[in-house]
Amino acid sequence: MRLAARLTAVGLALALLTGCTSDSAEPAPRAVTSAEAQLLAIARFQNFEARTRPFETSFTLSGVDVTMRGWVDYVAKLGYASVEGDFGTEAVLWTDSSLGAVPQAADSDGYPTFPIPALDEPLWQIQELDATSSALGALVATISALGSDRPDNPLLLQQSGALWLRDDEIDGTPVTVFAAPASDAPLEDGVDAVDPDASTLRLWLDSTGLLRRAEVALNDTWTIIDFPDLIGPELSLPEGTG
Amino acid sequence: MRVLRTAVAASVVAAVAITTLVGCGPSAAPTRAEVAVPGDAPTIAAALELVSPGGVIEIAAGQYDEQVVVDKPDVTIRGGDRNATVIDGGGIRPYGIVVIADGVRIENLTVTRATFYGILVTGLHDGDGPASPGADGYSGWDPEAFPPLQRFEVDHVTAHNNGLYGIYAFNAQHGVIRDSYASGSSDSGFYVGQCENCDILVTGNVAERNAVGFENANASDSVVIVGNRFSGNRVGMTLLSSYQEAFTPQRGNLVVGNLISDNFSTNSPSQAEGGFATGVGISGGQQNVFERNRITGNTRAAVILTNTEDLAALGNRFVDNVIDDAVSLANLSAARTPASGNCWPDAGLTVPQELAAQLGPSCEDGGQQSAATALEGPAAPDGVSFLKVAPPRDQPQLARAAQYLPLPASPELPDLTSVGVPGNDLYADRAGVR
Repeated sequence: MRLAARLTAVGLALALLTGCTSDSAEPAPRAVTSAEAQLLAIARFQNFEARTRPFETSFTLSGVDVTMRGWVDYVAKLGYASVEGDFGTEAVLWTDSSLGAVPQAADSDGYPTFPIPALDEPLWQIQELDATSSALGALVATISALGSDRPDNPLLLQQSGALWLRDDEIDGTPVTVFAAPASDAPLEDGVDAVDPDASTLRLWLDSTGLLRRAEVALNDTWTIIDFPDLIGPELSLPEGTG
Repeated sequence: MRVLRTAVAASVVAAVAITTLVGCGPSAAPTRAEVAVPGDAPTIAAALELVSPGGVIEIAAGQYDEQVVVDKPDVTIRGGDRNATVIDGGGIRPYGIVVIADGVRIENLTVTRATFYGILVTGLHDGDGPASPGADGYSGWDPEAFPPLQRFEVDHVTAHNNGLYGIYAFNAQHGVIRDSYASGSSDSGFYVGQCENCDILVTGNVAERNAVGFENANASDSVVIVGNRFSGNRVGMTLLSSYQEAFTPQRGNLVVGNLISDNFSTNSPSQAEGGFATGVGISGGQQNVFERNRITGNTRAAVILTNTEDLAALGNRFVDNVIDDAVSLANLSAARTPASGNCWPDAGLTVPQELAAQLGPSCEDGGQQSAATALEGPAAPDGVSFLKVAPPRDQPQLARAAQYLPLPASPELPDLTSVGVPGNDLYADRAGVR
């Protein structure tokens, strides 16, 4: 069914991390408690509740280090962000199925400007959104998969191996760091046998289940996506057929 | 639904574990026939420890941030004020009230903001140990290992803004869901699932602003759905065969005297399966009878027939219903699993001529029916968070009974021959969508 599967590896074919550096002072990962599973189960729904979440991430795109800042609107199912690298700044816009980019300067905070350029603007380059074809595609597909219009199943998250990794904090706010299950299949060997490095998605949640940071394993690197607790604009598709 | 059933099993395990621990105290207090909350016990959970089987828990007006598991038979759980005795899931707890014992009554209270179920009545438990599906999930689940819960009653209960379902009866028999209200559910307001010879009466209820008002998956024989208002949802009601639960195909419900109207709600969660603005959806349902319902203002279609994999919509009969929808019946069954024997002699001219011509003779010869591949309808608007759907207006109170006798072995059914076509205003005074 549609509920729990999406919080696993968000459907992406991501390479597993090879090797693991585990600080011996770190607490050992363990199975989530019922209360923790309940918190994890509402994380994607809390994003839908918030509607629009600002985000910021840095990653490598075709060998170029880039920074991406923008918003994802989980009700409209749209993302709009500014990507800055040494190739010049572009605005990217994506839906569930398409990803477009257009040259456009960012504002002074690094966010894209409004209005979103009309889709019949000839400088738009629009392609099918393919999470397997590029780091950008994988990243925006991951960001979009972090919202859902209903809660996930807390019991299924427990049974399929969601892990508590540690307590931490972001900007002074206490958070709990979880590893999402690598698959939504019930575990045959028990949660104790779960390899924390098999999960390609880690979520940092505050005490209300609000996502403050996600880490996703892209190729051989953990990419950090920060979600500041700020209000973002509602997004809508611009005019034009693209 | 495998996911849902998994949740139920594990939650019951947790509940059993908790009650076992509580029972390990140095000396168990004597139980009582009547327990007041908060007068005699500070919480509903504490009251359940204190009450005797067959006893009554009366809960005063107030907000109770609890998840209540009822594991004592024949207990009555009653709110002092239906609109002000509120069990609140806070948008984090999965259940409001879970009933796993036979003969339980829930009445005159509100459950809200549970992430999964407001009220869940289920026989999926083994009483004193884990009820786990095993590694193959529920596809290999043996219903005989989990006999259906017996006798239940949900009466004058308001279930609003719950994540998936308002009031849900699963693997249970001989029950009543009466004069209750459900809104804001992302799946359905009311749900009856997985039972044979269910002997379940669903009557006098109002479902609005849900993705689906009333849903039945694999609940068969003796399910009587009479005199309800399923109006102002995205879909009014569905009868479904589902291979994800036991006892396919769904069959043999009686649907009489209901108002199923204006199901094109925008102030409601999105509906997962499409079909926005449909009155009645039947997917692989068989031998159901619809009599004297008012099915109006559903702008896609009054009734849609489809198959569930290899299970056809078969032998459903429509008699003396009042329809004004642009399409009274659409058959969207796949060619490999054609609908047949569905019978609606007075469906009128609002079905394709070829299909209309088959619906009369099908009553006699059970013949196949021609199908369309698609049906135009209004685009579904964006869904609303289940927590943000408008709350209900105050609902009528149920006075305390002089005495709470054990529920009967079988619910008393109304005289269906006396039930006529309801007016457009059936329970309009309880509805926010009018």
